[in-house]
Amino acid sequence: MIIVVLMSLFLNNEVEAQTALSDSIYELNEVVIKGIKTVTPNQTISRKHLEALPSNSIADALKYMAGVQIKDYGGLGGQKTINVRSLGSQHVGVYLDGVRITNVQNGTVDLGKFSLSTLESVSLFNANKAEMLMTASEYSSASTVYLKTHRPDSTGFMASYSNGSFGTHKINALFTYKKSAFIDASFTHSDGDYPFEYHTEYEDTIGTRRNSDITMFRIEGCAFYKGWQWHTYFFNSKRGLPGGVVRRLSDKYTDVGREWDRNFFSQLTWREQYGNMGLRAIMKYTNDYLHYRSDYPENISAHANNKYHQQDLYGAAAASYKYKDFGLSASTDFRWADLTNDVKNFHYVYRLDSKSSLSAFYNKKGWNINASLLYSDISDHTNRKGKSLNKFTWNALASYSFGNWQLRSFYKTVFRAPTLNDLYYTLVGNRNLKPEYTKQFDLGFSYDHKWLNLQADWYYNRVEDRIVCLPLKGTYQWTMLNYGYTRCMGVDVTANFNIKNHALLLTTTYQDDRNRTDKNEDSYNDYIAYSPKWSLTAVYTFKYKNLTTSLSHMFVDKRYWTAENEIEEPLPAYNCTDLKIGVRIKKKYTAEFECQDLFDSRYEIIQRWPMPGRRYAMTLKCVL
Amino acid sequence: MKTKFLFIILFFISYFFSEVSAQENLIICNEGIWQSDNGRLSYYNAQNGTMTNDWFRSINGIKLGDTPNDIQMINDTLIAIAINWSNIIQYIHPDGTACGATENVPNNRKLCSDGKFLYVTSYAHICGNQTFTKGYVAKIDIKTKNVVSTCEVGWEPEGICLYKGKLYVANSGGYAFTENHEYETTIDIVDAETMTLLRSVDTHCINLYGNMSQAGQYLCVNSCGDYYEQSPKTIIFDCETETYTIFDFPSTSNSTDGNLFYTIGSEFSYLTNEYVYHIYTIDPVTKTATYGVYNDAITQKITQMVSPYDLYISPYTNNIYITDAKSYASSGYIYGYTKNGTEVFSPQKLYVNPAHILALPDKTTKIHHINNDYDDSETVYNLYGYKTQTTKTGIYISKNRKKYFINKHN
Repeated sequence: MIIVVLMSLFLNNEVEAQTALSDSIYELNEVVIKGIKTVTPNQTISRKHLEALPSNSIADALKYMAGVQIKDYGGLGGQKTINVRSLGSQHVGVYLDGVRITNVQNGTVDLGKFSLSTLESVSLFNANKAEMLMTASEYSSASTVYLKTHRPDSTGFMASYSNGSFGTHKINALFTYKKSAFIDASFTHSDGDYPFEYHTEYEDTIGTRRNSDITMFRIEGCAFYKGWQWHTYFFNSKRGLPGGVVRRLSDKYTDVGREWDRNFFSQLTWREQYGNMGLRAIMKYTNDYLHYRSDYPENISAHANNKYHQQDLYGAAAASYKYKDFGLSASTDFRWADLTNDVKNFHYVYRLDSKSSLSAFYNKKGWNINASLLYSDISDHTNRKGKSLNKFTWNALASYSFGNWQLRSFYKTVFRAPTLNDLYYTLVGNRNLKPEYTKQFDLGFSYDHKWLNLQADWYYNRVEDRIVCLPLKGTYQWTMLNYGYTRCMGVDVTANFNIKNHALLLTTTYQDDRNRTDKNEDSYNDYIAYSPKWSLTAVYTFKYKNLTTSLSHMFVDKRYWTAENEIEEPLPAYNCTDLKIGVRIKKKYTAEFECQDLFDSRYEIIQRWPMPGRRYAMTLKCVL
Repeated sequence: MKTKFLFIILFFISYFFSEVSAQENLIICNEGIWQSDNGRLSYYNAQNGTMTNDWFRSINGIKLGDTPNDIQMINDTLIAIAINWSNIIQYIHPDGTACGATENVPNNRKLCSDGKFLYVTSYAHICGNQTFTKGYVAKIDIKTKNVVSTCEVGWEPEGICLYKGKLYVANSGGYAFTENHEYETTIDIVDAETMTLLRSVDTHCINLYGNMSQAGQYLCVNSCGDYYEQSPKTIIFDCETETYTIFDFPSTSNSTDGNLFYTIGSEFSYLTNEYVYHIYTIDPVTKTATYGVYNDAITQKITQMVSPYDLYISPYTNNIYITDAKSYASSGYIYGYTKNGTEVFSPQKLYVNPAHILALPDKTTKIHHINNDYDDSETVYNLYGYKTQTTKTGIYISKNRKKYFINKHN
């Protein structure tokens, strides 16, 4: 059994903080979120627990949630995305204060770009939240991750410096103005160059992961005034992109790729309640730049030098009205997104994406019912554009509460539209792609007790017309195709214990994720690559006076990595343990020590992309 | 006594069958999935009728590497495999044991050999201390397995063949979609002895990509086109006259029995998003193409495949082998037929993305008999599988057997 430790992740209801845990290392008082008894399965990690976790990005928080698989290419600079209930990372919507973070080019959000330090909470909702006043876009993903920005309670200044393994330095500064604003900036550099090892029947490899350095700078600020919130974010990075580790005789010949990213957005949100009526409006502008280069003399593969520039303009309006036990919420939003690039044969393209939703609520005597209809209209404008899409999708959620118990269920069908890369990328894009559909059914319960919160859900889902990249028949050229059906059946269980100074979270994920594409194929009914049958996490925190100790553990079962399971040995199961100890000295100073992968278990999440193994970091913080 | 007699009978029966079915051992390169380090060799043992899909790794205890691109017989005891993404040329004996590797030709593509030297095309711009603007051909001495000289050719050179001391190199320019150059249209002619570029022949067909097969003085070259406006073509190149004939279909996979070319072409256009399949036999002498390969049943079989990936004609038996890569992510299969259409074996399961087949002459290490009284019309092959004439005294392969020929004309 896994003996484990660390801090508490409160699931479902945000329970009033334990006295022992009430301290925030930043000494910025918490805003206690009122518990929302929502209809759909959801898990939240709040600010104080985020701080106790050894983490570099929001991916490190999400990995402890039930039903979540992290895709991580290793190292600080390796891309990190999440996959919820095996639906695929492009079906997970990531929302900052209710506004979706988008990438019209490839549809995925690299979680490594977002810091936990400015957040109030990180939540995961299967299907979507069942709240009034949601925007249409909030209904448009199969699973939703909500990042809620922290509103400061005091005026102050905090600075920290962290030094870690593999030449990692991080400087962070935060200025807060009571109730109204903050500015948070951080600079991180890591040399990478971490060691890796492979020891199997057919190889004994010891090496250093070269070209895995990253330098990133992030500054963001947010201002709050009554129902208004204005958030501006800037991120700039340069990093090496190491390839998969393959057999080589030496390091003499390399394949070098480097990437520069620049992301900017500014969003203004407003929401107000007038008696029974609620109104909400959002405006957002995004400007993303990506530069990829491989035209170095030492690089032995294709020499590319391409720049991609995306802009995104988004506006949304929502209104809700409550009458007795009934509620009605309607929303419409509009997005204009474009992509300029200098890839040969890849023309300028812009996409118009408008969505409208209508949602009905009924809430009485423990019953909570919500049904929603979403209309999406997506059209692209470019040289030889694909067909425009207009589709209706729907979902229905229901729960019944009695005593400490809640029973719940939902059905949701929604699609993801092919991205601009999927459709138009030179030599790869396919203009005839259909959207990729997901269908989910869930049945579960939750139980609340003074020191215990327990929830369990059984689900069944299907992904249809998966958008995949396959070689064209015999032409040595790859292209995007709609190919494949998968179905996944699973159970997510989470248990939270909070007793005096101790907090413990346990989660269990069971899933049976199968390929149901073609009965004539050898891979029919095989497990989907990278879907472990079991994963378990445990997080324990203990706080005593000025000392905070946290220990977290993850077990992930063996994972097949080939579509046809029997032809290759699966990646072995792994255990990973993290430790973090924080000591507060004289109120103003905090020293933190953390060790990730304490027992140096060498594992991979993606085959041939080794993880860095044991690593340490020491952080000093000062509050003025 | 009885048992001894039985053994003798069994021996004769088995010998009889092996002669009649003319079965041969095969090595198949499975490319695997790029950057997954899962290239593999499969081995078909004709004597037992068994296929092994982890041949190299089980014999040597090491993995082959990432994306093997080509396999070439150098002599009767040495085989070379170009492992593209591992930047290695791996050498093995016909029994599968590894015997050295060459590292200095990164991003290697295709191979050919004259038995003493191995010639390799490379997309890279570096070879040891040398640098090149475009791609190059490296000449490797088999004895030392070191690069002894190089010759710069066009961008992203692919297929390479040797004819009368000259190397014929098809240039693809395959990185044109991202690099600052156009697709290539040329076949470069290089003197193999001095490794100097003699001249370039412009075929006016772009992207000369993929396998190139050789029947005597003729080469079969595939032009991929650009998948947009420029449609794919097949070029039959005559090394004697340095002239060529163009056919309006691709030969994505092609092979030869020494006289005719057999091709499977897959034509795809991003404009229409449609496939057209072409299965043709080309006579390079009459410059005619006829639909189908060998016979209707085999042609029909190819059209029924999910993803035909490689076509190979054994130079020793003229058996035809075709691989089907299926979904490109799960196991592929190999189908084998004799020239008259009988199955060599039931479809055999291989590994992921099987291509690049090599037939081994039976009992490669044993000379069957010395031959000084033979018919000049007898088809003979040199030890690396090319059809040849017995103009010099030496070891040749004939009727699936290794024989010592004494040149009676001397």
